[in-house]
Amino acid sequence: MGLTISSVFNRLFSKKPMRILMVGLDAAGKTTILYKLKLGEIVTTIPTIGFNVETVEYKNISFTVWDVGGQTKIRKLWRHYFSNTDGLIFVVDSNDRDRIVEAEQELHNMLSEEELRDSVLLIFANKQDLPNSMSTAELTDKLKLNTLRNRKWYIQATCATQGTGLYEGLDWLSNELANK
Amino acid sequence: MHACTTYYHQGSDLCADLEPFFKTLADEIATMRDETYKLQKDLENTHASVSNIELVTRKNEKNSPTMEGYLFKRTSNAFKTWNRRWFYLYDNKLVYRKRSGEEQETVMEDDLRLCTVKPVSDGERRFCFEVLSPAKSHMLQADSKEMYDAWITALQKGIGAAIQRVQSCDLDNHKNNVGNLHRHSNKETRRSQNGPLSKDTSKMKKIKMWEQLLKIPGNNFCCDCGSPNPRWASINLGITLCIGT
Repeated sequence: MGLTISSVFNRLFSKKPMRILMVGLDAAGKTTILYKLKLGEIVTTIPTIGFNVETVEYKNISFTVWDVGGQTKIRKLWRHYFSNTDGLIFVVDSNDRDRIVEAEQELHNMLSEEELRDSVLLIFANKQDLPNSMSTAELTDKLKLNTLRNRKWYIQATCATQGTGLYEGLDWLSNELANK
Repeated sequence: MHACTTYYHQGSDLCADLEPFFKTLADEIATMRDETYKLQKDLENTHASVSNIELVTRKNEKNSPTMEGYLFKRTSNAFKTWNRRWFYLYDNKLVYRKRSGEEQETVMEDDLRLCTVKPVSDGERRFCFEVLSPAKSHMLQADSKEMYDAWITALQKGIGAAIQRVQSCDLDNHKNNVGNLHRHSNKETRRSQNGPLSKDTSKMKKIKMWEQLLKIPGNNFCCDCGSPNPRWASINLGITLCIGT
């Protein structure tokens, strides 16, 4: 009896936890996105050594977002963060045409990991405010997202400095979590 | 007039008398100056050597903790009580003991590369910070503002250094792997074709290895008689020898 009451109570009032791993090449804007979500403001960031983690509450879900540094030399540490990840956010700099191939390789390498088999993939096509940025359609093509099998994915155009698109992305993530 | 001349005469006599004294005084000053100069040089040298020694010992004591001290740690059980433990950072790890000097230690975080440190300001206690890693989080409290700052900077430095160091290690490993591969392929060629070519390569390899051995300080002379260019090596003693004479 007590158990049922507490479970009902939990369902009504407690926030569902969701563990989100946010990765991407260096200077894609991960840390800026994290603090825009957390604080609602733009903070001055430096290249992340190690990681940042913040809890963002949105739509009755508590997202624990792990923002891991993206510099080439520390990318091999990403795999340590994979276990128990519900959702993966891959941030790309839509304006960086030179390194889009590198981003595509990193993404596909990561998705081949067993530990990430059940996690959904959200791609933030960041820096959409820049004039020469690639569209989501172009990025879908360049990142070869259509070749992904058995993976729920979604690409969202964002601009971290203006905050556009970020909550739309979280909306999709929360829906996916509810459907799980 | 007469008084005046005697007065001046006396004065000049006095000066003449004092002259040797002045001379000795000047000499003494000169020698003293020399001595102080020497002393200064000496001190400078000792200073330099001391700092050198410090560098050396620091290199030797790579495993000594970079930061240590008492911190309060919140237990992870349901009671969330706080315990005082002796914490230290060394060898990319965050470790603690019940008391300083006690043998038994507990590893809190075994890989600083996967840790981050976050100040906690809204807790019920002052000077708290959190050490986070992908699977765990620890709430720690320092005794004072100074210790709090010191621990946060030490942890951040430690994490940065751990990331840097592991990279260089990885590079070394990579090099070794390449070396192994190289050796391996050599062996294979030897095995596959016992022709003159493979013999040549193995000979070359031997010569190269010998050159490397001789490059180690002390190996360029026979350990026994001291004659140069030894041709034999003792593996169990780790020395080089000549056998002819």
